[in-house]
Amino acid sequence: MIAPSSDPRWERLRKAVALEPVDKVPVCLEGVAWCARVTGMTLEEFLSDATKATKANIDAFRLVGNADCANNPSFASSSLNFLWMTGVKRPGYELGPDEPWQVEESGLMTPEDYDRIIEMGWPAFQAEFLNERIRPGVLDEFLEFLGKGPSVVEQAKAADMPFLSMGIIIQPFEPLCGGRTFTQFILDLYRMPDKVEQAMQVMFPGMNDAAIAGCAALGSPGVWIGGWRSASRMLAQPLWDRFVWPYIKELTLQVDAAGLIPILHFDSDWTRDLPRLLELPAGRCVLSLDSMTDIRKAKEILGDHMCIMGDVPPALLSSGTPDQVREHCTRLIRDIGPTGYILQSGCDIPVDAPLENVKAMADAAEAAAG
Amino acid sequence: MDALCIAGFLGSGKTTILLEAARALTDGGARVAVIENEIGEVGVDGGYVREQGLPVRELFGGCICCTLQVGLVETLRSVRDSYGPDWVVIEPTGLAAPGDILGLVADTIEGLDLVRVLTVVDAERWSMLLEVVEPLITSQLESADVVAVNKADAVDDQQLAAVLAAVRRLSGDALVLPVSAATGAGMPALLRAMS
Ligand SMILES: Nc1nc2c(ncn2[C@@H]2O[C@H](COP(=O)(O)OP(=O)(O)OP(=O)(O)O)[C@@H](O)[C@H]2O)c(=O)[nH]1
Ligand SMILES: [Mg+2]
Repeated sequence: MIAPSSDPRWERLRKAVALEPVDKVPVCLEGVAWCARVTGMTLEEFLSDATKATKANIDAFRLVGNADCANNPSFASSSLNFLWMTGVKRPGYELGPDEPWQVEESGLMTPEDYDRIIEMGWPAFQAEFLNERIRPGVLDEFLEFLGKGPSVVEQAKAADMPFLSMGIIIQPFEPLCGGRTFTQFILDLYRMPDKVEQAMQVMFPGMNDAAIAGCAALGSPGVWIGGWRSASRMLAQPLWDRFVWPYIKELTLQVDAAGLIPILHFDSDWTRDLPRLLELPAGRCVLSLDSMTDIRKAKEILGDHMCIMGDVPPALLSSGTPDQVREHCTRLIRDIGPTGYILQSGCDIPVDAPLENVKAMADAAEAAAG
Repeated sequence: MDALCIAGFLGSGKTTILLEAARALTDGGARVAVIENEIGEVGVDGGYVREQGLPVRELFGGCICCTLQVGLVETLRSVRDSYGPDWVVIEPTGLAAPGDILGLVADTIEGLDLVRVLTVVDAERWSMLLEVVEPLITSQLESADVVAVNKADAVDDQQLAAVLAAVRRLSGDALVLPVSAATGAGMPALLRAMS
Protein backbone atom coordinates (compact mmCIF):
# COMPACT_ATOMS: atom_id res chain seq x y z
CA MET A 1 0.00 0.00 0.00
CA ILE A 2 1.01 3.62 -0.35
CA ALA A 3 0.63 5.81 2.74
CA PRO A 4 -0.60 9.42 2.41
CA SER A 5 2.45 11.56 1.73
CA SER A 6 3.56 15.16 1.39
CA ASP A 7 5.47 14.12 -1.73
CA PRO A 8 3.13 14.92 -4.65
CA ARG A 9 4.48 11.98 -6.66
CA TRP A 10 3.58 9.41 -4.00
CA GLU A 11 0.26 11.12 -3.46
CA ARG A 12 -0.59 10.85 -7.16
CA LEU A 13 0.30 7.17 -7.18
CA ARG A 14 -1.73 6.51 -4.04
CA LYS A 15 -4.75 8.30 -5.48
CA ALA A 16 -4.43 6.63 -8.87
CA VAL A 17 -4.61 3.21 -7.22
CA ALA A 18 -7.47 4.28 -4.95
CA LEU A 19 -9.36 5.72 -7.97
CA GLU A 20 -9.38 9.24 -6.47
CA PRO A 21 -8.92 12.42 -8.56
CA VAL A 22 -5.30 13.43 -9.20
CA ASP A 23 -3.60 16.75 -10.04
CA LYS A 24 -1.67 14.98 -12.81
CA VAL A 25 -1.66 11.47 -14.24
CA PRO A 26 1.40 9.81 -12.69
CA VAL A 27 4.09 8.53 -15.03
CA CYS A 28 5.95 5.31 -14.30
CA LEU A 29 9.16 4.23 -16.03
CA GLU A 30 9.59 0.56 -16.76
CA GLY A 31 12.48 -0.47 -18.94
CA VAL A 32 15.31 -2.36 -17.39
CA ALA A 33 17.62 -2.74 -20.38
CA TRP A 34 16.69 0.75 -21.60
CA CYS A 35 17.89 2.30 -18.30
CA ALA A 36 21.32 0.84 -18.92
CA ARG A 37 21.52 1.79 -22.58
CA VAL A 38 20.34 5.36 -22.10
CA THR A 39 22.81 5.98 -19.30
CA GLY A 40 25.76 4.48 -21.17
CA MET A 41 26.13 1.37 -19.01
CA THR A 42 26.72 -1.90 -20.87
CA LEU A 43 24.14 -4.60 -20.28
CA GLU A 44 26.89 -6.82 -18.93
CA GLU A 45 27.74 -4.29 -16.23
CA PHE A 46 24.04 -3.65 -15.58
CA LEU A 47 23.49 -7.33 -14.80
CA SER A 48 26.68 -7.74 -12.81
CA ASP A 49 25.27 -6.37 -9.58
CA ALA A 50 21.84 -5.39 -8.22
CA THR A 51 23.12 -2.01 -7.08
CA LYS A 52 24.55 -1.23 -10.53
CA ALA A 53 21.16 -1.99 -12.06
CA THR A 54 19.61 0.36 -9.51
CA LYS A 55 22.13 3.06 -10.33
CA ALA A 56 21.14 2.84 -14.01
CA ASN A 57 17.47 3.06 -13.02
CA ILE A 58 18.15 6.15 -10.92
CA ASP A 59 20.27 7.84 -13.58
CA ALA A 60 17.64 7.17 -16.25
CA PHE A 61 14.90 8.46 -13.93
CA ARG A 62 16.90 11.67 -13.51
CA LEU A 63 17.53 12.00 -17.23
CA VAL A 64 13.79 11.88 -17.91
CA GLY A 65 13.32 14.37 -15.09
CA ASN A 66 9.58 14.51 -14.65
CA ALA A 67 8.45 10.91 -14.22
CA ASP A 68 6.81 10.05 -10.91
CA CYS A 69 8.29 6.64 -10.23
CA ALA A 70 10.18 3.66 -11.52
CA ASN A 71 8.43 0.31 -11.71
CA ASN A 72 11.15 -2.06 -10.43
CA PRO A 73 14.30 -0.37 -9.15
CA SER A 74 16.59 -3.31 -9.90
CA PHE A 75 16.93 -6.41 -12.05
CA ALA A 76 18.88 -9.66 -12.40
CA SER A 77 18.85 -12.13 -15.28
CA SER A 78 18.73 -14.97 -12.74
CA SER A 79 15.18 -13.85 -11.92
CA LEU A 80 14.21 -14.93 -15.45
CA ASN A 81 15.70 -18.38 -14.88
CA PHE A 82 13.80 -18.55 -11.60
CA LEU A 83 10.46 -17.39 -13.02
CA TRP A 84 10.37 -19.44 -16.21
CA MET A 85 12.62 -22.41 -15.57
CA THR A 86 14.48 -21.67 -18.78
CA GLY A 87 18.01 -20.83 -19.70
CA VAL A 88 18.91 -17.21 -20.36
CA LYS A 89 21.68 -16.10 -22.71
CA ARG A 90 23.51 -13.26 -21.01
CA PRO A 91 25.49 -10.29 -22.27
CA GLY A 92 29.16 -10.79 -21.50
CA TYR A 93 28.80 -14.58 -21.31
CA GLU A 94 26.91 -16.22 -24.15
CA LEU A 95 26.41 -12.86 -25.91
CA GLY A 96 28.39 -9.71 -26.62
CA PRO A 97 28.77 -7.24 -23.71
CA ASP A 98 25.92 -5.01 -24.83
CA GLU A 99 23.54 -7.46 -26.51
CA PRO A 100 20.13 -7.78 -24.85
CA TRP A 101 19.64 -10.96 -22.84
CA GLN A 102 17.51 -13.70 -24.40
CA VAL A 103 15.32 -16.22 -22.71
CA GLU A 104 16.03 -19.66 -24.15
CA GLU A 105 12.98 -21.84 -24.11
CA SER A 106 14.44 -25.21 -24.92
CA GLY A 107 12.32 -27.65 -22.92
CA LEU A 108 14.55 -28.62 -20.01
CA MET A 109 11.57 -30.01 -18.12
CA THR A 110 10.19 -33.46 -19.02
CA PRO A 111 6.72 -34.98 -18.61
CA GLU A 112 8.15 -37.16 -15.81
CA ASP A 113 8.92 -33.99 -13.89
CA TYR A 114 5.25 -33.56 -12.97
CA ASP A 115 5.62 -36.64 -10.80
CA ARG A 116 8.87 -35.40 -9.35
CA ILE A 117 7.22 -32.10 -8.43
CA ILE A 118 4.37 -34.00 -6.79
CA GLU A 119 6.82 -36.19 -4.82
CA MET A 120 9.48 -33.62 -3.92
CA GLY A 121 7.39 -30.48 -3.56
CA TRP A 122 8.10 -27.36 -5.56
CA PRO A 123 10.96 -25.68 -3.62
CA ALA A 124 13.16 -28.79 -3.64
CA PHE A 125 12.38 -29.55 -7.27
CA GLN A 126 13.01 -25.97 -8.31
CA ALA A 127 16.35 -25.76 -6.53
CA GLU A 128 17.54 -29.01 -8.10
CA PHE A 129 16.25 -28.05 -11.52
CA LEU A 130 17.89 -24.64 -11.51
CA ASN A 131 21.29 -25.92 -10.50
CA GLU A 132 21.37 -29.20 -12.38
CA ARG A 133 19.55 -28.43 -15.57
CA ILE A 134 19.96 -24.71 -16.04
CA ARG A 135 23.34 -23.83 -14.60
CA PRO A 136 25.21 -24.69 -11.40
CA GLY A 137 25.15 -21.70 -9.07
CA VAL A 138 22.22 -19.95 -10.70
CA LEU A 139 20.08 -20.27 -7.59
CA ASP A 140 22.81 -18.74 -5.44
CA GLU A 141 23.07 -15.86 -7.89
CA PHE A 142 19.36 -15.26 -7.55
CA LEU A 143 19.51 -15.45 -3.74
CA GLU A 144 22.43 -13.03 -3.73
CA PHE A 145 20.35 -10.64 -5.83
CA LEU A 146 17.48 -10.93 -3.35
CA GLY A 147 19.92 -10.32 -0.52
CA LYS A 148 20.72 -6.92 -2.02
CA GLY A 149 17.06 -5.89 -1.62
CA PRO A 150 17.65 -3.68 1.44
CA SER A 151 20.53 -1.78 -0.19
CA VAL A 152 18.52 -1.33 -3.38
CA VAL A 153 15.72 0.21 -1.36
CA GLU A 154 18.19 2.48 0.46
CA GLN A 155 19.74 3.53 -2.83
CA ALA A 156 16.35 4.40 -4.35
CA LYS A 157 15.33 6.32 -1.24
CA ALA A 158 18.59 8.23 -1.08
CA ALA A 159 18.12 9.21 -4.73
CA ASP A 160 14.53 10.23 -4.03
CA MET A 161 13.16 7.83 -6.66
CA PRO A 162 9.75 6.38 -5.80
CA PHE A 163 9.17 2.84 -7.07
CA LEU A 164 6.24 0.46 -7.19
CA SER A 165 7.52 -3.06 -6.82
CA MET A 166 10.41 -5.06 -5.38
CA GLY A 167 9.29 -8.43 -6.62
CA ILE A 168 7.59 -10.57 -9.22
CA ILE A 169 5.40 -13.50 -8.35
CA ILE A 170 3.73 -16.05 -10.58
CA GLN A 171 1.15 -18.78 -10.79
CA PRO A 172 2.25 -22.36 -11.61
CA PHE A 173 1.27 -22.10 -15.29
CA GLU A 174 4.19 -19.82 -16.14
CA PRO A 175 7.19 -21.83 -14.89
CA LEU A 176 5.71 -25.10 -16.14
CA CYS A 177 5.05 -23.58 -19.55
CA GLY A 178 8.54 -22.08 -19.64
CA GLY A 179 10.21 -25.29 -18.51
CA ARG A 180 8.33 -27.51 -20.93
CA THR A 181 8.08 -24.98 -23.85
CA PHE A 182 4.71 -23.67 -24.93
CA THR A 183 4.16 -26.37 -27.57
CA GLN A 184 4.91 -29.24 -25.22
CA PHE A 185 3.01 -27.71 -22.33
CA ILE A 186 -0.23 -27.29 -24.24
CA LEU A 187 0.18 -30.87 -25.41
CA ASP A 188 0.44 -31.86 -21.73
CA LEU A 189 -2.74 -29.89 -21.01
CA TYR A 190 -4.43 -31.92 -23.73
CA ARG A 191 -3.03 -35.35 -22.92
CA MET A 192 -2.66 -35.31 -19.15
CA PRO A 193 -4.57 -32.39 -17.70
CA ASP A 194 -5.17 -34.13 -14.38
CA LYS A 195 -1.46 -34.73 -13.84
CA VAL A 196 -0.64 -31.11 -14.63
CA GLU A 197 -3.36 -29.95 -12.29
CA GLN A 198 -2.10 -32.21 -9.53
CA ALA A 199 1.40 -30.73 -9.91
CA MET A 200 -0.01 -27.21 -9.89
CA GLN A 201 -1.91 -27.93 -6.70
CA VAL A 202 1.26 -29.17 -5.05
CA MET A 203 3.20 -26.15 -6.28
CA PHE A 204 0.79 -23.39 -5.44
CA PRO A 205 0.39 -23.35 -1.64
CA GLY A 206 3.26 -21.28 -0.29
CA MET A 207 4.83 -20.87 -3.71
CA ASN A 208 5.04 -17.10 -3.38
CA ASP A 209 4.93 -16.64 0.40
CA ALA A 210 8.60 -15.73 0.74
CA ALA A 211 8.44 -13.23 -2.12
CA ILE A 212 5.34 -11.56 -0.72
CA ALA A 213 6.76 -11.43 2.81
CA GLY A 214 10.08 -10.13 1.45
CA CYS A 215 8.37 -7.32 -0.44
CA ALA A 216 6.38 -6.38 2.64
CA ALA A 217 9.52 -6.36 4.80
CA LEU A 218 11.30 -4.11 2.30
CA GLY A 219 8.46 -1.61 2.35
CA SER A 220 7.65 -2.22 -1.32
CA PRO A 221 4.30 -0.62 -2.19
CA GLY A 222 3.30 -3.47 -4.47
CA VAL A 223 4.24 -6.77 -6.07
CA TRP A 224 4.05 -7.76 -9.71
CA ILE A 225 1.87 -10.69 -10.58
CA GLY A 226 3.20 -11.79 -13.96
CA GLY A 227 1.04 -13.14 -16.74
CA TRP A 228 2.75 -13.97 -20.02
CA ARG A 229 1.99 -17.26 -21.68
CA SER A 230 -1.17 -17.67 -19.64
CA ALA A 231 -2.88 -14.82 -21.53
CA SER A 232 -6.49 -15.10 -22.66
CA ARG A 233 -5.28 -14.85 -26.27
CA MET A 234 -3.34 -18.10 -25.85
CA LEU A 235 -5.76 -20.48 -24.20
CA ALA A 236 -9.20 -21.87 -24.84
CA GLN A 237 -11.67 -20.68 -22.22
CA PRO A 238 -12.17 -23.97 -20.32
CA LEU A 239 -8.41 -24.35 -19.88
CA TRP A 240 -7.92 -20.76 -18.82
CA ASP A 241 -10.75 -21.14 -16.32
CA ARG A 242 -9.16 -24.26 -14.89
CA PHE A 243 -5.40 -23.71 -15.09
CA VAL A 244 -4.96 -19.94 -14.92
CA TRP A 245 -7.65 -17.85 -13.34
CA PRO A 246 -8.14 -19.59 -9.96
CA TYR A 247 -4.41 -19.17 -9.26
CA ILE A 248 -4.22 -15.53 -10.36
CA LYS A 249 -7.25 -14.72 -8.27
CA GLU A 250 -5.91 -16.42 -5.16
CA LEU A 251 -2.48 -14.79 -5.58
CA THR A 252 -4.06 -11.38 -5.92
CA LEU A 253 -5.98 -11.94 -2.69
CA GLN A 254 -2.79 -13.09 -0.94
CA VAL A 255 -0.91 -9.97 -2.00
CA ASP A 256 -3.78 -7.73 -0.97
CA ALA A 257 -4.02 -9.47 2.40
CA ALA A 258 -0.32 -8.75 2.96
CA GLY A 259 -1.07 -5.04 2.56
CA LEU A 260 0.61 -4.77 -0.83
CA ILE A 261 -0.76 -3.55 -4.16
CA PRO A 262 -1.23 -6.40 -6.63
CA ILE A 263 0.19 -5.13 -9.94
CA LEU A 264 -1.20 -7.43 -12.59
CA HIS A 265 1.49 -7.29 -15.23
CA PHE A 266 -0.36 -8.89 -18.12
CA ASP A 267 1.44 -9.20 -21.45
CA SER A 268 -0.30 -10.21 -24.67
CA ASP A 269 -4.07 -9.98 -25.10
CA TRP A 270 -6.33 -10.46 -22.05
CA THR A 271 -9.40 -8.71 -23.51
CA ARG A 272 -11.66 -11.79 -23.44
CA ASP A 273 -11.35 -12.22 -19.69
CA LEU A 274 -11.38 -8.60 -18.48
CA PRO A 275 -14.80 -9.04 -16.80
CA ARG A 276 -13.29 -11.69 -14.53
CA LEU A 277 -11.06 -9.05 -12.95
CA LEU A 278 -14.19 -7.61 -11.34
CA GLU A 279 -13.86 -10.54 -8.90
CA LEU A 280 -10.74 -8.87 -7.46
CA PRO A 281 -10.89 -6.31 -4.62
CA ALA A 282 -12.00 -2.83 -5.78
CA GLY A 283 -9.71 0.18 -5.60
CA ARG A 284 -6.67 -1.84 -4.57
CA CYS A 285 -5.17 -3.41 -7.69
CA VAL A 286 -3.34 -2.16 -10.77
CA LEU A 287 -3.79 -3.70 -14.21
CA SER A 288 -0.66 -3.15 -16.29
CA LEU A 289 -1.12 -3.76 -20.02
CA ASP A 290 1.39 -4.06 -22.85
CA SER A 291 -0.70 -2.63 -25.73
CA MET A 292 -2.04 -5.96 -26.95
CA THR A 293 -5.11 -5.94 -24.68
CA ASP A 294 -7.80 -3.42 -25.68
CA ILE A 295 -7.09 -0.79 -23.02
CA ARG A 296 -10.25 1.17 -23.83
CA LYS A 297 -12.33 -1.92 -23.23
CA ALA A 298 -10.42 -2.39 -19.98
CA LYS A 299 -11.39 1.14 -18.96
CA GLU A 300 -15.01 0.54 -19.88
CA ILE A 301 -15.25 -2.68 -17.90
CA LEU A 302 -12.87 -2.00 -15.01
CA GLY A 303 -12.62 1.80 -14.82
CA ASP A 304 -14.60 1.97 -11.58
CA HIS A 305 -12.87 -1.08 -10.17
CA MET A 306 -9.11 -0.89 -10.63
CA CYS A 307 -6.33 1.42 -11.71
CA ILE A 308 -5.08 0.83 -15.25
CA MET A 309 -1.45 1.25 -16.22
CA GLY A 310 0.16 1.33 -19.66
CA ASP A 311 0.25 1.02 -22.56
CA VAL A 312 2.35 3.21 -24.85
CA PRO A 313 3.31 0.74 -27.59
CA PRO A 314 6.96 -0.29 -27.40
CA ALA A 315 7.26 0.00 -31.20
CA LEU A 316 6.11 3.62 -31.01
CA LEU A 317 8.67 4.38 -28.30
CA SER A 318 11.50 2.91 -30.31
CA SER A 319 10.55 3.93 -33.86
CA GLY A 320 8.15 6.86 -33.56
CA THR A 321 8.89 10.57 -33.28
CA PRO A 322 8.49 12.55 -30.03
CA ASP A 323 5.42 14.24 -31.54
CA GLN A 324 3.81 10.89 -32.31
CA VAL A 325 4.52 9.68 -28.77
CA ARG A 326 3.11 12.89 -27.26
CA GLU A 327 -0.06 12.63 -29.33
CA HIS A 328 -0.56 8.98 -28.45
CA CYS A 329 -0.06 9.67 -24.72
CA THR A 330 -2.41 12.64 -24.81
CA ARG A 331 -5.13 10.40 -26.24
CA LEU A 332 -4.45 7.76 -23.62
CA ILE A 333 -4.68 10.29 -20.81
CA ARG A 334 -7.95 11.59 -22.23
CA ASP A 335 -9.49 8.15 -22.72
CA ILE A 336 -8.11 6.12 -19.81
CA GLY A 337 -7.35 8.88 -17.30
CA PRO A 338 -7.11 11.16 -15.57
CA THR A 339 -8.56 9.18 -12.64
CA GLY A 340 -7.41 5.60 -12.00
CA TYR A 341 -4.63 5.72 -14.55
CA ILE A 342 -0.82 5.49 -14.53
CA LEU A 343 0.89 6.34 -17.81
CA GLN A 344 3.58 3.85 -18.69
CA SER A 345 5.09 2.01 -21.62
CA GLY A 346 3.36 -1.21 -22.68
CA CYS A 347 5.65 -3.72 -20.94
CA ASP A 348 9.27 -2.54 -21.07
CA ILE A 349 10.55 0.58 -22.78
CA PRO A 350 12.55 -1.04 -25.59
CA VAL A 351 16.30 -0.95 -25.21
CA ASP A 352 16.76 1.29 -28.25
CA ALA A 353 14.06 3.87 -27.48
CA PRO A 354 15.44 7.41 -27.81
CA LEU A 355 15.42 9.45 -24.59
CA GLU A 356 13.38 12.16 -26.37
CA ASN A 357 10.53 9.70 -26.86
CA VAL A 358 10.43 8.74 -23.19
CA LYS A 359 10.60 12.40 -22.23
CA ALA A 360 7.71 13.05 -24.61
CA MET A 361 5.67 10.48 -22.67
CA ALA A 362 6.38 12.17 -19.32
CA ASP A 363 5.83 15.65 -20.82
CA ALA A 364 2.43 14.62 -22.17
CA ALA A 365 1.18 13.95 -18.62
CA GLU A 366 2.43 17.34 -17.46
CA ALA A 367 0.89 19.12 -20.44
CA ALA A 368 -2.44 17.39 -19.91
CA ALA A 369 -2.49 18.54 -16.28
CA GLY A 370 -2.18 22.16 -17.51
CA MET B 1 9.17 -3.56 -51.75
CA ASP B 2 6.42 -6.03 -50.92
CA ALA B 3 6.15 -8.00 -47.71
CA LEU B 4 4.89 -11.52 -47.15
CA CYS B 5 4.12 -12.50 -43.57
CA ILE B 6 4.01 -16.26 -42.93
CA ALA B 7 2.16 -16.85 -39.69
CA GLY B 8 0.95 -20.01 -37.97
CA PHE B 9 1.31 -21.97 -34.76
CA LEU B 10 4.68 -23.31 -33.57
CA GLY B 11 5.84 -26.16 -35.77
CA SER B 12 3.07 -25.83 -38.37
CA GLY B 13 5.55 -25.67 -41.26
CA LYS B 14 6.17 -21.91 -41.67
CA THR B 15 9.91 -22.16 -42.34
CA THR B 16 9.49 -25.08 -44.76
CA ILE B 17 6.89 -23.15 -46.75
CA LEU B 18 8.89 -19.92 -46.47
CA LEU B 19 11.86 -21.55 -48.16
CA GLU B 20 9.66 -22.81 -51.02
CA ALA B 21 8.05 -19.40 -51.44
CA ALA B 22 11.41 -17.65 -51.36
CA ARG B 23 12.81 -20.07 -53.91
CA ALA B 24 9.87 -19.51 -56.26
CA LEU B 25 10.25 -15.74 -55.96
CA THR B 26 14.01 -15.91 -56.52
CA ASP B 27 13.50 -18.16 -59.55
CA GLY B 28 11.18 -15.52 -60.95
CA GLY B 29 14.02 -13.02 -60.75
CA ALA B 30 13.04 -11.22 -57.53
CA ARG B 31 15.45 -10.20 -54.77
CA VAL B 32 14.24 -11.75 -51.51
CA ALA B 33 15.23 -11.11 -47.90
CA VAL B 34 13.94 -12.94 -44.83
CA ILE B 35 13.20 -11.77 -41.29
CA GLU B 36 12.93 -14.44 -38.62
CA ASN B 37 11.48 -13.74 -35.20
CA GLU B 38 12.26 -16.58 -32.90
CA ILE B 39 11.47 -17.88 -29.50
CA GLY B 40 12.61 -21.14 -28.04
CA GLU B 41 15.99 -22.29 -29.21
CA VAL B 42 16.83 -19.04 -30.85
CA GLY B 43 18.84 -18.89 -34.04
CA VAL B 44 17.72 -22.26 -35.38
CA ASP B 45 15.44 -21.07 -38.18
CA GLY B 46 17.67 -18.12 -39.04
CA GLY B 47 20.69 -20.35 -39.39
CA TYR B 48 18.77 -22.83 -41.51
CA VAL B 49 17.40 -20.20 -43.87
CA ARG B 50 20.87 -18.66 -44.20
CA GLU B 51 22.29 -22.07 -45.14
CA GLN B 52 19.78 -22.11 -47.99
CA GLY B 53 21.48 -19.03 -49.37
CA LEU B 54 18.98 -16.34 -48.40
CA PRO B 55 19.86 -13.11 -46.58
CA VAL B 56 18.31 -13.28 -43.10
CA ARG B 57 17.80 -10.90 -40.21
CA GLU B 58 16.82 -12.32 -36.86
CA LEU B 59 14.74 -10.69 -34.17
CA PHE B 60 14.92 -12.00 -30.64
CA GLY B 61 12.68 -11.11 -27.76
CA GLY B 62 14.58 -10.25 -24.57
CA CYS B 63 11.60 -11.38 -22.60
CA ILE B 64 9.07 -14.13 -23.18
CA CYS B 65 6.46 -11.61 -24.16
CA CYS B 66 5.94 -11.25 -27.90
CA THR B 67 8.24 -8.40 -28.80
CA LEU B 68 8.17 -8.82 -32.56
CA GLN B 69 6.76 -5.36 -33.06
CA VAL B 70 9.69 -3.71 -31.35
CA GLY B 71 12.57 -4.58 -33.59
CA LEU B 72 10.52 -5.16 -36.71
CA VAL B 73 10.24 -1.58 -37.90
CA GLU B 74 13.96 -0.92 -37.54
CA THR B 75 14.84 -4.25 -39.14
CA LEU B 76 12.52 -3.69 -42.09
CA ARG B 77 13.98 -0.23 -42.67
CA SER B 78 17.49 -1.55 -42.47
CA VAL B 79 16.77 -4.46 -44.84
CA ARG B 80 15.09 -2.07 -47.27
CA ASP B 81 18.02 0.35 -47.23
CA SER B 82 20.90 -2.09 -47.21
CA TYR B 83 19.60 -4.80 -49.53
CA GLY B 84 16.77 -3.26 -51.52
CA PRO B 85 14.72 -6.45 -51.88
CA ASP B 86 11.64 -6.80 -54.05
CA TRP B 87 10.15 -9.06 -51.40
CA VAL B 88 10.78 -9.33 -47.70
CA VAL B 89 9.40 -12.49 -46.14
CA ILE B 90 8.67 -12.30 -42.41
CA GLU B 91 8.21 -15.33 -40.15
CA PRO B 92 6.77 -14.18 -36.81
CA THR B 93 6.84 -16.51 -33.82
CA GLY B 94 4.16 -19.15 -33.63
CA LEU B 95 2.58 -17.21 -30.76
CA ALA B 96 1.97 -14.04 -32.76
CA ALA B 97 -1.07 -13.04 -34.77
CA PRO B 98 -0.28 -11.29 -38.03
CA GLY B 99 -2.95 -8.69 -37.27
CA ASP B 100 -0.76 -7.43 -34.42
CA ILE B 101 1.93 -6.23 -36.79
CA LEU B 102 0.15 -5.44 -40.05
CA GLY B 103 -1.06 -1.96 -39.19
CA LEU B 104 2.25 -1.05 -37.66
CA VAL B 105 4.24 -2.20 -40.65
CA ALA B 106 1.95 -0.63 -43.24
CA ASP B 107 1.87 2.69 -41.34
CA THR B 108 5.54 3.11 -40.55
CA ILE B 109 7.57 1.67 -43.40
CA GLU B 110 7.87 4.03 -46.31
CA GLY B 111 8.24 2.31 -49.66
CA LEU B 112 6.25 -0.76 -48.67
CA ASP B 113 3.67 -1.45 -51.35
CA LEU B 114 1.88 -4.58 -50.37
CA VAL B 115 1.66 -6.74 -47.27
CA ARG B 116 0.33 -10.25 -47.88
CA VAL B 117 -0.45 -12.67 -45.09
CA LEU B 118 -0.14 -16.42 -45.47
CA THR B 119 -1.25 -18.38 -42.43
CA VAL B 120 -0.10 -21.97 -42.11
CA VAL B 121 -2.37 -24.46 -40.36
CA ASP B 122 -1.17 -27.82 -39.10
CA ALA B 123 -3.73 -30.34 -40.35
CA GLU B 124 -2.25 -33.12 -38.24
CA ARG B 125 -2.66 -31.28 -34.94
CA TRP B 126 -5.73 -29.24 -35.89
CA SER B 127 -8.29 -30.69 -33.48
CA MET B 128 -5.85 -30.73 -30.58
CA LEU B 129 -4.77 -27.14 -31.17
CA LEU B 130 -8.34 -25.98 -31.55
CA GLU B 131 -9.30 -27.55 -28.25
CA VAL B 132 -6.36 -26.08 -26.35
CA VAL B 133 -5.30 -22.82 -28.01
CA GLU B 134 -8.42 -21.92 -29.98
CA PRO B 135 -8.14 -18.10 -29.53
CA LEU B 136 -4.58 -18.08 -30.80
CA ILE B 137 -5.42 -20.19 -33.85
CA THR B 138 -8.46 -18.05 -34.61
CA SER B 139 -6.46 -14.84 -34.32
CA GLN B 140 -3.88 -16.20 -36.75
CA LEU B 141 -6.59 -16.93 -39.32
CA GLU B 142 -8.38 -13.61 -38.96
CA SER B 143 -6.14 -11.43 -41.11
CA ALA B 144 -4.97 -14.05 -43.59
CA ASP B 145 -5.15 -13.50 -47.35
CA VAL B 146 -4.31 -17.13 -48.01
CA VAL B 147 -4.38 -20.10 -45.62
CA ALA B 148 -2.22 -23.15 -46.29
CA VAL B 149 -3.58 -26.25 -44.58
CA ASN B 150 -0.25 -28.04 -44.32
CA LYS B 151 0.83 -31.60 -43.57
CA ALA B 152 -1.94 -32.94 -45.81
CA ASP B 153 0.26 -36.02 -46.22
CA ALA B 154 -0.11 -36.85 -42.54
CA VAL B 155 -3.91 -37.10 -42.41
CA ASP B 156 -6.47 -39.12 -44.39
CA ASP B 157 -8.85 -37.58 -46.93
CA GLN B 158 -11.75 -37.46 -44.54
CA GLN B 159 -9.73 -35.66 -41.87
CA LEU B 160 -8.36 -33.25 -44.43
CA ALA B 161 -11.83 -32.41 -45.68
CA ALA B 162 -12.97 -31.75 -42.12
CA VAL B 163 -10.02 -29.47 -41.38
CA LEU B 164 -10.51 -27.58 -44.64
CA ALA B 165 -14.18 -27.02 -43.86
CA ALA B 166 -13.42 -25.82 -40.33
CA VAL B 167 -10.63 -23.54 -41.47
CA ARG B 168 -12.84 -22.02 -44.19
CA ARG B 169 -15.45 -21.18 -41.58
CA LEU B 170 -12.86 -19.27 -39.52
CA SER B 171 -10.97 -17.54 -42.34
CA GLY B 172 -13.44 -15.08 -43.83
CA ASP B 173 -12.63 -14.34 -47.45
CA ALA B 174 -9.20 -15.95 -47.43
CA LEU B 175 -8.34 -18.56 -50.01
CA VAL B 176 -7.83 -21.89 -48.23
CA LEU B 177 -5.61 -24.48 -49.91
CA PRO B 178 -4.43 -27.93 -48.81
CA VAL B 179 -0.68 -28.51 -49.18
CA SER B 180 2.12 -30.75 -48.08
CA ALA B 181 5.35 -28.83 -47.78
CA ALA B 182 7.05 -32.19 -47.20
CA THR B 183 5.96 -33.87 -50.46
CA GLY B 184 5.38 -30.70 -52.47
CA ALA B 185 1.72 -31.58 -53.13
CA GLY B 186 -0.37 -28.46 -53.62
CA MET B 187 2.65 -26.18 -53.42
CA PRO B 188 2.50 -24.87 -57.01
CA ALA B 189 -1.12 -23.80 -56.52
CA LEU B 190 -0.23 -22.13 -53.23
CA LEU B 191 2.69 -20.24 -54.74
CA ARG B 192 0.50 -19.11 -57.65
CA ALA B 193 -2.11 -17.87 -55.21
CA MET B 194 0.51 -15.89 -53.32
CA SER B 195 1.96 -14.09 -56.31
N1 LIG C 1 4.48 -34.58 -42.37
C1 LIG C 1 4.81 -33.32 -42.66
N2 LIG C 1 5.69 -32.67 -41.89
C2 LIG C 1 5.99 -31.40 -42.21
C3 LIG C 1 5.41 -30.74 -43.31
N3 LIG C 1 5.87 -29.48 -43.35
C4 LIG C 1 6.73 -29.35 -42.32
N4 LIG C 1 6.80 -30.51 -41.63
C5 LIG C 1 7.64 -30.80 -40.45
O1 LIG C 1 7.13 -30.06 -39.36
C6 LIG C 1 8.19 -29.62 -38.53
C7 LIG C 1 8.13 -28.12 -38.37
O2 LIG C 1 8.36 -27.49 -39.61
P1 LIG C 1 8.88 -25.99 -39.68
O3 LIG C 1 8.84 -25.57 -41.12
O4 LIG C 1 10.14 -25.84 -38.96
O5 LIG C 1 7.69 -25.29 -38.89
P2 LIG C 1 7.65 -23.81 -38.29
O6 LIG C 1 6.21 -23.42 -38.30
O7 LIG C 1 8.58 -22.93 -39.02
O8 LIG C 1 8.14 -24.06 -36.80
P3 LIG C 1 8.57 -22.95 -35.70
O9 LIG C 1 9.40 -21.93 -36.40
O10 LIG C 1 9.32 -23.75 -34.70
O11 LIG C 1 7.29 -22.40 -35.17
C8 LIG C 1 9.47 -30.10 -39.19
O12 LIG C 1 9.86 -31.27 -38.59
C9 LIG C 1 9.05 -30.31 -40.63
O13 LIG C 1 9.85 -31.28 -41.26
C10 LIG C 1 4.47 -31.48 -44.11
O14 LIG C 1 3.91 -31.01 -45.09
N5 LIG C 1 4.21 -32.75 -43.73
MG1 LIG D 1 10.10 -21.70 -38.24
